[in-house]
Amino acid sequence: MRLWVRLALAAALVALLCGSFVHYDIAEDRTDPYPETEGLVADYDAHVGERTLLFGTVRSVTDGTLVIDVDSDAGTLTMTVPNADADVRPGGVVQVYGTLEPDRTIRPERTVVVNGDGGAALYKYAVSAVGALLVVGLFGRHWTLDTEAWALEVREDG
Amino acid sequence: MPDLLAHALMAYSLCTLLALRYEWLTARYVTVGMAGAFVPDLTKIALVVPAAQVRSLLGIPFDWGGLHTGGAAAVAVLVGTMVVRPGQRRRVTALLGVGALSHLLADALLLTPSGRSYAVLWPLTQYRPPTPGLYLSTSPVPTVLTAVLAAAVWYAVRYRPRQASAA
Repeated sequence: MRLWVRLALAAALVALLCGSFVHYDIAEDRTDPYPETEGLVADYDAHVGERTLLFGTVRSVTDGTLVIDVDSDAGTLTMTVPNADADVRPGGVVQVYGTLEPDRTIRPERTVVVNGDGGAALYKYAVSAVGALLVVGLFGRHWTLDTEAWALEVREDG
Repeated sequence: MPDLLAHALMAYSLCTLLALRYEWLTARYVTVGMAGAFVPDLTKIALVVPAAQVRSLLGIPFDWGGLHTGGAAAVAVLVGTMVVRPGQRRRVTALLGVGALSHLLADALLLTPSGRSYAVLWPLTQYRPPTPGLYLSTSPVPTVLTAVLAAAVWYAVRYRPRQASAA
């Protein structure tokens, strides 16, 4: 395969990939079973009674009632989650599945603590960085870029 | 699954076991499989370039999350195919695919409050299969388990009894 054919094919595939990101966003709006957070920010009352899944950062915890911030393109949606039954501290991240009630309150059916206090996310990124370095290191040991053919090639000594 | 290390270790174990069956699958190809396990998490580019930024810049809908699905990951794997030498394309494609697939399957087991996973087979179908909810993305348990598995596989393959005669 000539270089320019290969480059054209690669460019076409990357374009297809970018197109899929656009399509995914459109399709998600159409088929996501839950109301979009942007829609909730714009007109909350229109969605009261609907079931949804919220992904938010805990702002405060008082007697089992959480106040969470849900981020979206349209701004932050602050929601109250009574009787959350979740062991979490401010700064933690929770997923809440439940029914929307008046006054920006969600009656939770199930609450999952993604991380208790923000530390777990740090742990995840740190371990992920270790994983990334490991694979990049191994890959660099076995493969090299042949700048004449502009292709990845097995190292002679790899 | 949770973190990139767990995904990489999982792909290592899978590819190393496949190497028992395919003689050409040497360490260099195992690393390709491990790199393949990173493909769906290239969505994390969103940490650097948020989708909202792309949307406002281009004025069109956009969501990196698409990459974390079967269809887009397959296209991303083919992009990888384009950057290697002709003689290695088939093998590299297969291993990137194995890695990416193991990642997508492991993530389909993540705990969600709705009990539903993500659209694994998108864009073929929007169906979100039920998830057994085996772990959270921030749990260290899968990392430890995949590390033990990887060590066991490494040991078993390295020190497996050699066959008396090559048939």
